[in-house]
Amino acid sequence: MCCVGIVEDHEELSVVLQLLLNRLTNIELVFVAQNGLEAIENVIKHKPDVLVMAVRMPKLNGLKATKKIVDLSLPTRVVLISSLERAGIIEKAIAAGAYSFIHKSTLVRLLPIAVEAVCRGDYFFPEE
Amino acid sequence: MTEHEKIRVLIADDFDMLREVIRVLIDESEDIEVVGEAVHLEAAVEEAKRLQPDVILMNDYLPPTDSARATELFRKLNIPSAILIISMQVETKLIEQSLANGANGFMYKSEMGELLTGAIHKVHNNEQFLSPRAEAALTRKRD
Repeated sequence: MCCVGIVEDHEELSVVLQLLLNRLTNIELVFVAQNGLEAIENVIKHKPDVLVMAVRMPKLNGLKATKKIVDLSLPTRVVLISSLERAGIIEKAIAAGAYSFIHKSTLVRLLPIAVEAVCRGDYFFPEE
Repeated sequence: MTEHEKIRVLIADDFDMLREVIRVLIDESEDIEVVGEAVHLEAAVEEAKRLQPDVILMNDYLPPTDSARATELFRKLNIPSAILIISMQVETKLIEQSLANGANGFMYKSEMGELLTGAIHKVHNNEQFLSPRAEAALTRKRD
């Protein structure tokens, strides 16, 4: 079983993420949080295998939260999601220590694949 | 079951990712299919007339109006499709008003993973569907 946490401040998108991940077998959803600070607290508490987290969030953004998780040597691997088209965002995600980056336009199709890959310990950075 | 016998559903919701997830949930069912999508009231009316779906899955807010008024309009236009309202929040007044105006069911979006296809079947069979959370909210209000 792969334990997964969700961090997304947009409430309806958070529900979309939960609906998508609850369909997957071998995935257990262990917490849902709304910002980067809550993410860190919950990762320390629950130590999920994988964290699905938005880049743009209040308090502590997803890139900084990812870096914090890596700096604290926590075992959680991060999948970042974003609607930002900004050049270099994927490189920033990699530099922060993310295992995957999924653009929101392809999220419904690719997030399940990304989470399964990162649960196995693989990186997942789709071409599109 | 043949293609012809499938329950035909129109999704009326302005959030694109939610419509996509609903398609994923419905695609797993053998006897339900999504025949169209609409992002606001005008498009929903147009598509409902054109496609004559069995069930309309309607967000509690369909720009520029809420599900109660939207349902009222659909019934005035004699659109016979069953209407199942989906919502993010607990707004008992809106649930009651939507049902009073001719909606056939109500559920929260977070409940769709377990309950959506069953709810579609139920309203398609001319029965009312209230999800457990919706039912509990209405009961609390009456007490």
